[in-house]
Amino acid sequence: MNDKKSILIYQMAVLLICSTMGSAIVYIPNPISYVAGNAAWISLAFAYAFGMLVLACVLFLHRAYDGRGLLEMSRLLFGKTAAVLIAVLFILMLLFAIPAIVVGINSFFTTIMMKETPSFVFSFLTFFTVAFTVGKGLQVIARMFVLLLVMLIAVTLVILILAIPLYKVKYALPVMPNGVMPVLIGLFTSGGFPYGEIVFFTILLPFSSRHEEGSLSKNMYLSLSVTGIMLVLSSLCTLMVFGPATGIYKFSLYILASEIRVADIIERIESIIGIVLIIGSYMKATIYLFMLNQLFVQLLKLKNDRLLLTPLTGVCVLLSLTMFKGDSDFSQQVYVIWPLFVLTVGCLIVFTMTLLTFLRKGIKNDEDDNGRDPRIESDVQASGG
Amino acid sequence: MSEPDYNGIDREGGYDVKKALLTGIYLVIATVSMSGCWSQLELNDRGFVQAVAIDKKEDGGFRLSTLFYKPSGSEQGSKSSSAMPYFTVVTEGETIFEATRDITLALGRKAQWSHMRVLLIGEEVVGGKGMSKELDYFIRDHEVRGVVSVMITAGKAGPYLKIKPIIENTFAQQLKTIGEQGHRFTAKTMQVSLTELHIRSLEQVPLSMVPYVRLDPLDKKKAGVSGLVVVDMKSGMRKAVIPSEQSRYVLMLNNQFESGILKIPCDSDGKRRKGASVAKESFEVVRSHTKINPIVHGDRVTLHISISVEGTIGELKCSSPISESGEGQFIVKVEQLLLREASETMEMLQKERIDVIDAGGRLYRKQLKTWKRLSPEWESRFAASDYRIRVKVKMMNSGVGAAVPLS
Amino acid sequence: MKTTTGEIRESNRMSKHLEDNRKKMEETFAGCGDIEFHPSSFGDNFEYKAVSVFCSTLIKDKTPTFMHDTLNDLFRKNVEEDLSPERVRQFFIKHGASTSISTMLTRYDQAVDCILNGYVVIWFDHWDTAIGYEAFQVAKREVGEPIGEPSVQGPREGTTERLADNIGMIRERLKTPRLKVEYLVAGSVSKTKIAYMYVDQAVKPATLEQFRSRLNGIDPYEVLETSYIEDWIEDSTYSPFPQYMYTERTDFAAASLLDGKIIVLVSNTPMILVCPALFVEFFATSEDYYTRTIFASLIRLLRVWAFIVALLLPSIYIALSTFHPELIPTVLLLAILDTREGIPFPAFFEALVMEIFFELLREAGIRLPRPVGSAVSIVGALVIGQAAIQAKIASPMMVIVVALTGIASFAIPHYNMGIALRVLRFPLMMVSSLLGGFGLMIGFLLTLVHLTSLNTLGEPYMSSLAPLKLRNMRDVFIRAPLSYFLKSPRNRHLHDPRRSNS
Repeated sequence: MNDKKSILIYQMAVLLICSTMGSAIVYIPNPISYVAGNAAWISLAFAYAFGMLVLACVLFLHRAYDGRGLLEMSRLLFGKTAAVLIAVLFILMLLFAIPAIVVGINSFFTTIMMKETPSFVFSFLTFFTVAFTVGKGLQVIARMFVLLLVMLIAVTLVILILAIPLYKVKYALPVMPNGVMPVLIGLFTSGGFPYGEIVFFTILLPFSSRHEEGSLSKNMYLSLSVTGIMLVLSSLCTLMVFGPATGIYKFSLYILASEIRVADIIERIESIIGIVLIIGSYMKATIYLFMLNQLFVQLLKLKNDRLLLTPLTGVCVLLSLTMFKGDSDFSQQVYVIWPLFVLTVGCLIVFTMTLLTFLRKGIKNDEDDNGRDPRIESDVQASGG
Repeated sequence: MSEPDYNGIDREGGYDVKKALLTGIYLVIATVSMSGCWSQLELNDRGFVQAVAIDKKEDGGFRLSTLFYKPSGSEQGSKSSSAMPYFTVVTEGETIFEATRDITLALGRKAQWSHMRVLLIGEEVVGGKGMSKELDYFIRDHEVRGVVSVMITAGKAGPYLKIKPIIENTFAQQLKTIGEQGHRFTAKTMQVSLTELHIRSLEQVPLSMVPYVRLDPLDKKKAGVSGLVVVDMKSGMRKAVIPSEQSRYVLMLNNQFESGILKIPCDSDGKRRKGASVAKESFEVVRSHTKINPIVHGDRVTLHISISVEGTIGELKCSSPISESGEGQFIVKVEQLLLREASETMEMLQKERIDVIDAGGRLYRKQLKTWKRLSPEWESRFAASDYRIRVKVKMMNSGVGAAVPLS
Repeated sequence: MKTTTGEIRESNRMSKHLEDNRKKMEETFAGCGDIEFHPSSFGDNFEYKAVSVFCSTLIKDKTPTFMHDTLNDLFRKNVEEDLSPERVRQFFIKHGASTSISTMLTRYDQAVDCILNGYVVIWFDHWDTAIGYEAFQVAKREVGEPIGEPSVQGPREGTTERLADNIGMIRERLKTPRLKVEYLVAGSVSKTKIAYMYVDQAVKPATLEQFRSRLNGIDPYEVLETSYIEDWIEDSTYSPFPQYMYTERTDFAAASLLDGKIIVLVSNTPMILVCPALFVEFFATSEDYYTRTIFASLIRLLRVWAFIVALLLPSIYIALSTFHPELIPTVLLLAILDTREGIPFPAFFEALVMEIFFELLREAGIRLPRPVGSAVSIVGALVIGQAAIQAKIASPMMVIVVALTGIASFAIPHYNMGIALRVLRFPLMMVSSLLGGFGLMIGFLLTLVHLTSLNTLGEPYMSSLAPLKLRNMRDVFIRAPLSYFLKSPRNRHLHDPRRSNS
């Protein structure tokens, strides 16, 4: 309970917001509205519903296995070798996601603010900070991110409110000139990024404190709703300002902020939103790096948590510099291939596990009553760290 | 990782400080020696652009005139107040981007576009091959911000930058404020930003109204903004020029009328209504709202336009709307004027076949299938469509004086 | 002092012969010119001898008559009887050292200690015990307003260098047996008396345990000031942020005790160490609680703003002017441009020079005697600053930035937090000059990570901000009305039963 690794329920909920909203808030709704046009916000609303479904499965597994992590659960369900395979798949996914997030940060700075600086500077320094943060432990991460998240949400809301004079409601009407297909494609993209990535939380949930009053599930649903509302709201507002041009301006929220001009004094405030949005991406990268580290620790049964941190960070740095050939390659990989992978691999695994557990629980219900509950015995602390 | 030290306290959270310090020093040395300070440039090594004027050359290339701000501190000794705080650099190139880069050759400082106020486009740039592609550089570059005002000049744009401003620092600033305040207070022109132009170019009816800059007919050394140029953003062609008087009503129809004056002739039933010799009263409009509803029956399009206006009395010459019936009469006069002017404006728009009121866009949002059917020949359909205008005027007060004219 | 063999202890015991005792004392204090030996005689025919030994620099003036007064006091009732050493001995043994200021001493090391603590030690003939009377008096500073923490409203009582007086002043404010005082002595040469105080049931037991276990082992070391203790027990020596607070105000100390803090006092210094101190508490002064709620809340917000300005303003200026001029509003930009034209130095260098100059001015101002001090700071700031602008070495904008930063850092009530800002400002300036807004962001994040991971006496340093406790926020950026504070333990920072270690 009071060991060095557990975090409070509301902190876990905050981490969920950070990892779903963190980098999404910078780009949404640009990639979605590129395909779905004015109906982008509808895609996002449906994607939020899908996210709730994924979250429900993750929480169900957490409760059913009494707080075990991904590795433990898959070991129990599928056996040792399959569990290793699943872990490797998740590791590969994380090894894509983390450099992708940082490349996003790089592209933001090299497009918007500092064109001449080469990417590796941003990659290197960002990863240094991320690794430094991860090395301090989950509790420090959780504490800090609550503050940063409050700042992020406050700044975003301020921007959306200040932009009110710019809104033209007519642009928000979801006209679908090409039918429902674009909306579905938009749903597919946003289902993968960011909502599909909730499956990674199977790695993180074991760290929530056990003996605390209050419901983890309720808080997690609430926080996902916060993300859902923020993303839909920001896409709606961006659409209302830029209309058909939303799909063209990258970094929608930033460009929106640059259009704000209130009372001659409040102008050029996009700097603040720029920094804050990037902090969101940093938060997501930190959480994911922590998850990656944990997977390795659990897989290799390491005693020292920080042993592999530096090598992993180094690998991520190198990946971030070499993985993408260019901007269009980035868009293709992040908005097309990644959602596909997350949905078919990540979500499918979690859904299968949920289904199997659900069925097994129904069958095996009486076997557990003879006092020996195999799920709650030993090893629980080991997976929790 | 260090062990707890002499006191049993796990200091520094478990870090070995000496190692961390050494690592920190290595990092600092590496960063300092690595960073060539790529994006860094002192403020005074940049030239801040206030305005840009784009003209076409005879051989198809572009001539760019860029107005820079000149910091006053550069003069040694006392600052001469007669020196202008700006100067112009003229460059040429095959593309606009090339022309912008050549500025550094002339100036010696890197041009900083982020504080640009106005983008002036010469008339012939618009009339010829088109405008939107040329603006691509400005839209794409991260430095140029979307809020910069775009204006079209009568004749070549370059000479306009040399005009001396009245109060402001530069003529560019003056143009921008004319655009803004003119829009707000007279509605005889409007302000359009680069972003808005870009958005319009992606819409269903890609027509946009751009303010028109002209030399003052009385004093060639001065210039002002009056009237609007209608540009088809997709093809970049100029479609029509709307004079300043009519611009008011176009803006009103387009729901962009903020405040302005309506001139009501005293003798509203008589034949002569226009011209300076006819006595006119004025009604100051404070708020106006227009709704346009396109209704389609088969192939016929009918536009139901309803305008509602709120305002106060500006000047009284012949009416005395002090009693309720008098007030009613006055309001009727205003409504009749509005109806007349709006109809004339619609006629003009239909004659020129310009759907600046975005009836097409409204139809697109309301009834997608119908729009798909009608859109290929929307210009002619718009020109042939019927319209029904309804006007409602509400009078707030009569000003400080009583509602009788001074005798 | 640690006698291990009985032999040595035996030789420490006094002898019955006055001469031996006197000789032993003279040996020990050879070379100490301020130790005085006053022989006297008593008895009917003054045939019995006694000697009083004392340190003349430590005791009250009327000491030469002490012997007479003592004996007179003692034997007032028996004045007609025969005074003999035997009688003296009997008297003292029977009555004991009944007055609070006298003790019976049997060992030489005790006698030496007493003499050095301002006692008059009297040896009588034929008796192997000496009597010590406290007569301590050394010129001390008067109780006055603490220089570093002045206030407009509220008490102006500051601590002095006398440990007993300080503890007394605090006792006067918290008259409860729950206020515990524990003493210890440190150092073999300085033998400094250290005291720590806490209010039982207000302090968190775990914190007290931590504190005690950390304080352990300081005995052999010479402790000259409270800051030695801070260095001994703090979690992070290399962090720029202070983990404990100092105060010279007794009301602040009493309030901290009510909040569940432990305060440490060391003799010969007025500084009181308050542990643990949380980051958010550095923005509060005791005066906040004496002024009205709205005003106090606004002043708190002002201080938070001052903190941000003092830390970030020069860095923001450098980042904006060299990397991101597009983010400066146009009118301001043109003004800056006008002033910066012709300045030979790049912005970072200029900022650095001005900042260092300002720091120099500060340091110099501390050491100057008061009448000269203010003149020099005015000369330095105004004249040299003005001259620099006219000579086009510095731009007026930069002077404004530096001045604002300096003023803001003075607005932080606690000096050691102000130092933290001054230290941190330079790395942030450097990093923002290398990489602009991005560098500033990285620097900010690294600082935040460091702050969040810092612990003070086992508590997270950023408590009530991170981990976020909304209930405690009523005293962080605003100051809620006193009705929330009137019960002890106040603020509940340390005493929340719901807390887990997050």
